Amino acid sequence: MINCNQISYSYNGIQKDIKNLSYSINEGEWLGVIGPNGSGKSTFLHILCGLLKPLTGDVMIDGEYITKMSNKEIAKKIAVLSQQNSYTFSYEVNETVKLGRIAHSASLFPTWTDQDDIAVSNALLMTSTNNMKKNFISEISGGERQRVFLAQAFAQETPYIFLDEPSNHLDLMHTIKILDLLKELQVNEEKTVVTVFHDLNLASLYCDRILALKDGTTFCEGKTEDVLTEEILEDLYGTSFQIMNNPNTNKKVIVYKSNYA
Amino acid sequence: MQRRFIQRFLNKNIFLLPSFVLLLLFILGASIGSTSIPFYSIIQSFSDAFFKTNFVPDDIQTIVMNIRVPRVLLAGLVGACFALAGVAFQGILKNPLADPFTLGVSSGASVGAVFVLFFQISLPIVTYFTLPVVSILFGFFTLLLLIVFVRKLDRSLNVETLILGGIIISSFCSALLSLFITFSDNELRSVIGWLMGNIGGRGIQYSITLLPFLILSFLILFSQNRQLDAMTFGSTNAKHIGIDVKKVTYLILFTGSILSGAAVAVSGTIGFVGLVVPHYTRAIVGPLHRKLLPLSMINGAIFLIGSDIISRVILAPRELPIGVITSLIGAPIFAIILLQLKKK
Repeated sequence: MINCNQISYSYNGIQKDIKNLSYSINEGEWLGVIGPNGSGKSTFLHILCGLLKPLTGDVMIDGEYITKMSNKEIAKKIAVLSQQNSYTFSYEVNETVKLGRIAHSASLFPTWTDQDDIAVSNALLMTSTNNMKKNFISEISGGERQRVFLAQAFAQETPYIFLDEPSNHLDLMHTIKILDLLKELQVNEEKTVVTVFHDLNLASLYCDRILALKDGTTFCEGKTEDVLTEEILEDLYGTSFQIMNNPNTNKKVIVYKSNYA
Repeated sequence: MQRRFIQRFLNKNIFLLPSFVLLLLFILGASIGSTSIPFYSIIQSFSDAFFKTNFVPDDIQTIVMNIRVPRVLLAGLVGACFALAGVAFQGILKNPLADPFTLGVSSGASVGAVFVLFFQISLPIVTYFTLPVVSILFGFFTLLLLIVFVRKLDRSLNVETLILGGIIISSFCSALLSLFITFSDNELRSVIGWLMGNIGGRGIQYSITLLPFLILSFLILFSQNRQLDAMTFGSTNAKHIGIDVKKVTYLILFTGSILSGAAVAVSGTIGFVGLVVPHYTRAIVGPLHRKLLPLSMINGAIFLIGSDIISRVILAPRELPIGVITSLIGAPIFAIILLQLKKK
């Protein structure tokens, strides 16, 4: 379980990007974080995984203060797929994924174990990057690279998985494939998934709960079907929506409306 | 089939060919000069020196063991130092154009060296080794200055800010060097020799001073090889997969500055070794630091011994400063890397 208590953050010291936000993420649930641009979604995620230190307040993972944990300890708890991934030198896909195992090995005389091998080949299989494991990451497409970094995150074998805009760079087929896979991990292995979503229909399809942020603080939170209503979304984004029920899946379908007459 | 076998053999024994080339160049370097000494006499000289045999005349023995071998050995060690420093800085800065000079560490170290030459300083305890010790300290000091300055701008030590800071420090240091030259009369020659880089006429003691720094730094860098790999994907990703980014960054930068400081102390500012060697080594074995570090060390030695041989041969009997050769090779390669980066 991840608890954050009264956290706030500011990039420039003047304007608050996160304001007194308190929230708890339960084990085994899928939380979607939504909100307009600049609402603090990514900042919130970065504070939760210890990348940014909150100005006030604190974050606890499974009863431990994140500020007291080393990067290595955090990396054993939380794997993160960032929105932007960069590389300087062209490593093999295989070697890139292997780096995900660093947190599980000794810092001084690391040995490569069978468990490391299994974790890496599983991660490659799960993200269907197995067939390109000998390719260089400079040779593959942006979407394929995104899957390679996802494989790296899977190789960490953490109970928590954070994804910042997972559909970035990915086509619809791969987005669905990866989100289905995460759902499977959530259901079968009780992993906790936290994703930032721009696409509200994806949020509707996969999330158990939704946290809507606006101006760096909680605008609304609750079960997915309770948050995804026409009124709330209109207030949140400042544009109108039409929401329908899909009778086959019992999930809400969000229809975007144009304001152009 | 056969070609595949050879390829696999070379892949498994990536050090075999470079080691052989290194050995060959080492003997060639000791053989070439105003008095040409045949290969077998070099080997015989070694035998005379270590096994008390008596194959070669004393004058040949003196030339080989007291002049040629110290020079070639020093060239190899200095090359290895600069190349390793280049690998370290490039990995941590995520910048294939970074080398000891980008951070201004080398220029800081050479200010230290020129300072000692100009004022004829001799420190207690280290006496004879005042020059290298002061250089290393100045290199360290420059790096500390850079880090303090850059942290004021950006607490996470952003790559661009760090290089910008290096440029500021380099400019300041070259102004200081010019100042020294303006004020010097007789000392001018040695100072200018310093600026262009020179490895001739230095005793075996310099190699002995340099060696422990090289070994220690290599061990530190090699122990961090996976961390270095992770750092090339950026500090955010490195942090997410569990790297103590700040600790690793400081450790690598410090190690790199020991390497550059010690090398500058004995040879002056020999440019582009730390840029060219890692670039080509990466092209051969890929970017994994587990392979890149040891192989760059060997290739750095090859590059500088080769450059030294060229500098002695090309205008014989006149000798060019070795820095001229490395820059003539290095500057166009710098341009090529830049073009490749822009195309990406």
